[in-house]
Amino acid sequence: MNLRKTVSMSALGFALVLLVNGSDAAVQKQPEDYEQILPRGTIAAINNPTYVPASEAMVAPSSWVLGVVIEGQPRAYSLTLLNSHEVVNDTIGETNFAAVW
Amino acid sequence: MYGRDYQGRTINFEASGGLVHASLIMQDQETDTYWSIMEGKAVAGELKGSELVELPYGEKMQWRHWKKKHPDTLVLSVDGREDASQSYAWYYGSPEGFNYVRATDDRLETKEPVFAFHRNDIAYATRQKDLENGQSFELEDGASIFLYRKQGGSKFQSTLAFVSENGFEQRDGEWIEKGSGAGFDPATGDFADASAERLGGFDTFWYTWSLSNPETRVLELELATEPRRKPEQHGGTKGAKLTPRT
Repeated sequence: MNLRKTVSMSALGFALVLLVNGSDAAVQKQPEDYEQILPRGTIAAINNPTYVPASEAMVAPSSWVLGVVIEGQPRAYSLTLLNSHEVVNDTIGETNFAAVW
Repeated sequence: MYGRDYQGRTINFEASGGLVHASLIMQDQETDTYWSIMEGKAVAGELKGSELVELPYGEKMQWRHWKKKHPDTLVLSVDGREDASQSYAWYYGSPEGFNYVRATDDRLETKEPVFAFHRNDIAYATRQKDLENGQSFELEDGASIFLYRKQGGSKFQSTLAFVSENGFEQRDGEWIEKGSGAGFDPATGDFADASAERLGGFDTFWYTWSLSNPETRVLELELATEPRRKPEQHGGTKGAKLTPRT
């Protein structure tokens, strides 16, 4: 009897765990009004950006850039490159940041 | 510009490929959490509720100006290229939103260019065209915001935003932070001695912002014909007021 009770309690516990996991999965749901336009990964973010000095950069003088100075270090991101990648995951010194446009 | 450190870990963002109300939703590569730029927080997934940390260090300008200001700058290079052709030109020229989305809040036109920001959990927006040569507005918490755009500048220029508890005023054509008396220098885009705190925000379109922030306060200029306006309060320039959502 006790064994059966233990087993049924375990089963109940297991079901509860499933329920809890189920609600965890629910938390992962997409945001309200979310509309998937392109498969994820189509617009590849840049995770390990590389740079050239200003003297070597081939940028039209009138092109727009997103400029940033962090810990005294200036960096520039062409807006047209940002358009294609949306996000650059970057670090300057101790600052981990994402350039997004 | 956003920080990447949340709840004790460093994450990498990417475009989710999806939109909410036609505005970009990011996901991080570590937890798959969905992040709304317009709402400034994680909106679904493991890190839901985390506030997106905005870093007010970014400034958009033409390459020739940036290079002159920062000759030692590094430049992002992707597959050997530092620049590419303009791919979204049609979008900027169109009165329609992305995917023909329109604003449901008709206080401003769908594609009205606005500067928008959050402060103390309140969303604000103001027309970019009202900000040429600078404008100051009082916020709900009693602080003042100073917003500046160059006259006749490009739509891609960044609006510069500063807050001060002491307020701002225009004297002899120069914008002053009243507490320190420091002036705003349009050439450097800053107040002398960094006497006013820089604030982040968005240069975007009204529909994008208002669909994600329906309770937005629109900061409006007062009409010059409004009665009992005291010119000395506004330094002889157009004053500003808040128009709450009706």
